[in-house]
Amino acid sequence: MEQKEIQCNHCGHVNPPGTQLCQSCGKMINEDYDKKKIKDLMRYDGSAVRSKVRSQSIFDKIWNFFTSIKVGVTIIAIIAISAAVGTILPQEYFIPIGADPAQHYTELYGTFGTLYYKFGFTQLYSSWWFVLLMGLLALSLIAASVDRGVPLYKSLKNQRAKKHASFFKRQRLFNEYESTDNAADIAKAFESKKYKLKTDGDHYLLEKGRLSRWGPYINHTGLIILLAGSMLRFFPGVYIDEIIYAQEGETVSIPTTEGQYYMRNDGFTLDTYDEDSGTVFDETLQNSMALTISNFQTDITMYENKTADIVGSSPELEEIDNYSIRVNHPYRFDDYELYQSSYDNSQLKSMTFRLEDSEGNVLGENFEVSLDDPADSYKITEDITINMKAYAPDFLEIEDNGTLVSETPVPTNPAFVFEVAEGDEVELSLLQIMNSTDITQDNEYSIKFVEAEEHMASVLTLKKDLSMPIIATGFVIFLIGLFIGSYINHRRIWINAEGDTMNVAAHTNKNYFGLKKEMNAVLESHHLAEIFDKQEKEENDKLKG
Amino acid sequence: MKKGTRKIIRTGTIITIAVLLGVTLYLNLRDGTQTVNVGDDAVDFKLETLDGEELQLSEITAENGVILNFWGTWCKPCREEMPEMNQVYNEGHEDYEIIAVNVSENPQQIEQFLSGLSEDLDYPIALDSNRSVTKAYNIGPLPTTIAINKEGVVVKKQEYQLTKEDIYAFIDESLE
Amino acid sequence: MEETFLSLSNTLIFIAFLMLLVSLLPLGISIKSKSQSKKYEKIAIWMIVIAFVLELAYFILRWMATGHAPVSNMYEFIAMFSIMLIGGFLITYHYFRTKVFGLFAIPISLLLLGYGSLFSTDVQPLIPALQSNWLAIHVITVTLSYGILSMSAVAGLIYLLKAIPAEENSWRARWLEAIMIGILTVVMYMVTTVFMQNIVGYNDEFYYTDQQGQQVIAEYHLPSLINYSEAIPVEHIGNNEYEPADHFHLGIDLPPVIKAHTLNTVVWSIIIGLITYGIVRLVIRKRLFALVKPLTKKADLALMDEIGYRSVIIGFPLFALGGIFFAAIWAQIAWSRFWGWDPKETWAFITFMFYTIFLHLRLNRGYEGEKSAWLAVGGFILILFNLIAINLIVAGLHSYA
Repeated sequence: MEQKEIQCNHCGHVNPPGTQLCQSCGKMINEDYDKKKIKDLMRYDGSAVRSKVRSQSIFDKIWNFFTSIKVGVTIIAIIAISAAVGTILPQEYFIPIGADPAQHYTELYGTFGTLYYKFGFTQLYSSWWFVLLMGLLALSLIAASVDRGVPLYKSLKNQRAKKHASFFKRQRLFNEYESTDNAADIAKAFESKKYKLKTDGDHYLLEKGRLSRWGPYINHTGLIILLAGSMLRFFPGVYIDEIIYAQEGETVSIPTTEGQYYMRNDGFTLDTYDEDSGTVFDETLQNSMALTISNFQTDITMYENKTADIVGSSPELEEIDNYSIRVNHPYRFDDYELYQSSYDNSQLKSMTFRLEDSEGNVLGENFEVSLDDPADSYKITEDITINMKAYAPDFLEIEDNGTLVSETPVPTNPAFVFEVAEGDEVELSLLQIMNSTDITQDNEYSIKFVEAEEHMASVLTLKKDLSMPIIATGFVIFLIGLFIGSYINHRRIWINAEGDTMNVAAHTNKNYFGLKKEMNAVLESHHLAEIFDKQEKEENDKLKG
Repeated sequence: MKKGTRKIIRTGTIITIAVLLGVTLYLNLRDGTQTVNVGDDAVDFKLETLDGEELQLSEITAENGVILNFWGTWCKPCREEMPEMNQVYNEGHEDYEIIAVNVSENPQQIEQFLSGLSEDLDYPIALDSNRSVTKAYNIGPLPTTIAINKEGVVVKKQEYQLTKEDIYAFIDESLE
Repeated sequence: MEETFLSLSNTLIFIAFLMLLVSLLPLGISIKSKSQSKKYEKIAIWMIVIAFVLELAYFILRWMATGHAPVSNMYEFIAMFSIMLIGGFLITYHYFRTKVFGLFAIPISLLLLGYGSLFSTDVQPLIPALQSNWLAIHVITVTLSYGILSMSAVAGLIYLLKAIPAEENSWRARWLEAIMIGILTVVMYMVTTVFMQNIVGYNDEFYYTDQQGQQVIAEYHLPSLINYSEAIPVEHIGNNEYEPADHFHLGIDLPPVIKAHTLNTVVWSIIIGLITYGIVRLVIRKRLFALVKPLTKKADLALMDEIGYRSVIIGFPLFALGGIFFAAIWAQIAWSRFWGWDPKETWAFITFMFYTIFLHLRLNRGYEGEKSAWLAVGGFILILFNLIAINLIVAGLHSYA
């Protein structure tokens, strides 16, 4: 059963169901409202906030539930607490690249880590229930805003300058003055303070800053747009986040571009601060154990592949651009961006050795073994050649049949079986990092390690985020609404100069302190008493009593 | 607000949010399983073999079923699996081909590895030097074996080591 | 030339510190005194204003000395926060003439500055990630918003101290006492650290492997209760050389994701704080907050409530702007993702949500007066948690100490 519209018995205006103060004259027309929930009638100008349609459909029930501020605040609180849980252990996004999550969490954090992982907390912010909470937040935002915003808009649009006497007395700021002569002057004084004047005979309405009331609704709209944008993230093709690992000199294809784009790492630069440069930082730099990095960047050449058809086929590359990618200075192409993320110099590029005889004399020149594509033999002198019989980039163990087993294909712990061939005689030895073992007996020659060179690999992040403009727009609108709602005050002053006495009442959505100050300045200049603050009197009475 | 308008707004909003949430959650949950699966079309590719020949998948599947075996020299199960595959292969392979796709290693390492096996391999070894084929098939652990039939459709996929029976099963599937 | 700027800058902030400390005297007198004379109040305010100007000079000179905004490490950030607290107080005083505010805002500001000075006050050149205009824009806006939001906590604290009876046997009285114990703990932490580090010279070094796999030395200025897993006690024998030594260690080991030596200090502070509190209680025979309560006798509760609300309504949008929006823009440019839910971002988000709840409860559910005061104090504790706990204890990209 729908509640009936209410006709004001004073001015005759027909009000929507549930309205407490007549939209036109402000008289109380409906005492039957939830006094516990609505403490300040003027918050929504006495208009009906919660639609009083008795719940019919399931949609009405759901809607009414989500219009509640208590529900909204609860949802916000649950989201905040859940977010906190996600900070107890690092999220999966932050663990080392390539690490197996289950292993990682168990190894580092024991049983707690395993449980944390099993419950899905390691990917908390994209978990189904967190997404669901965000969806409920969106529903709450929409329902609460529509339910309050629409009646408020109508009320403020239709408000009249002439208000019922009871309306005046109801306001927090109110006073009654003996003479009505100053009314017009006072109104003019307020107008000079940027108030807009609306008159109805001897009734004055002075208003400024109404925009402030729309602040919350604007900011809620911004948040809804932001939530919609972040939801788009899950749609294919909208969001791409990949790591590109490129060694110096290497050309790699850009992932997810289906072979259309390639880039070459023309050079990786790593600079550190000079601790003797004569600047004010010298002392700090000298005291620090590690070097402080001043810059690291990758100089790249971008290519477009003209024959991007079949996977695996050799690309035909055409150079399209050059750039130096540094932190805070990403490279943009198409919808993508390349960021300088970090670097890796843990992979060895080459190792240099030399041959020595039993007396320690060096024979011939040093020979350099390239660990990515090693040569099979190295001519040391006229008579002596060194052959590489076996090589494992990441040495694990020796198989039964003599082959070297490698744990990974990455040269981080290389081992070699070298054969020193002099004419018909051959000697074999196994070389590892910091360790050399003779395989044949009584070797005359030994191979000594000279130096190693590392690969400088640049780690770049490839990003494409089509949802970002939407999310950004949403947040900007949110900020605008927030600033409008917070920094502007909506002030209204009513003056009733009809009759023998002049009634003045005022309302603001915040900062009564400032409103009082402003009003009292005008009142004082017209030799009138200060405006009376109902709430201040109540507070003082409470303290005394 | 008119009763009718109100009803539309309420119902519309709730349904829209429910639908959007549903789609989002579905996509979210599905995201983790983005691999090439049984029933999908096999991604065509062109790779060079260890012998220097060029192989194109679609050319082979035009006539034969194909077993793709993704492997690496550091992968222990591969060392056991490959000789067995070779034995089965040599029993007769008129209708199918095995292609061992090596995941981005240099020829020297591969040669070294092959020389250490209990027998020489007779089927082609394709070199996926920049991992593009491996990525296109979203290969995770190694070895992974995929069977593709003459229509170019993936009919079987198995991760980790195959037994001899598994190998036979793969061949049978690829022929269908 | 930069050297001169730097030493001048350091001197100025030291003088400002002393001036603020001394200004509490005339300020206290002006509150206690029954006379109408505004003499002491004027003296106090002038001292505070001058100190504030000196602090601004510290900021500008340090910027000139280093070439970048001095907000790039823990000390600089906390110093900025502390300066903004004074700024916030001066703004509040300008509008509302609240003397009693100063009695609380200034000590809190000084405590913060003191705490910040315990970190390295050296100037450091910027690492690549910080080399951006956004450093100044983001951090200055955030500290400004913090300074303003903190005023709501000060107002709230004054409100609670006045409104809650000293002898009351209630939960609210106990919670207020807990806050006082917290403040005492912070003071004792600083006293202990200065004592152990600078006077006693206690320095036990431990050699451990950090999260990135690097070998690092941790310096313990208090006996080790909590340490890094597999840490080796060592002694520095000069020139980056260390040899194994025998240092006291209770035995609790944690993985390097937690900064054990910081947590150790926190635990010690709590222990010493509680012991000190016990002694104080025995001596004064009443609650700690009863000792401070008389200072708030003349405070106007309605005004405190109003200030509490106003500071949030002004500070919160600034926090959203600087702490979330500017931060996101910079994170996108530097780290490729504008929001990664790392601990610092997440706790900034939680702080944001908290103040949202504050505003909604106040505006729509009538949470005024005492309820609002509690929330305001809670918000400040969240800010401190984000600043201290997350920066120090949880290691990561965003931690700068």
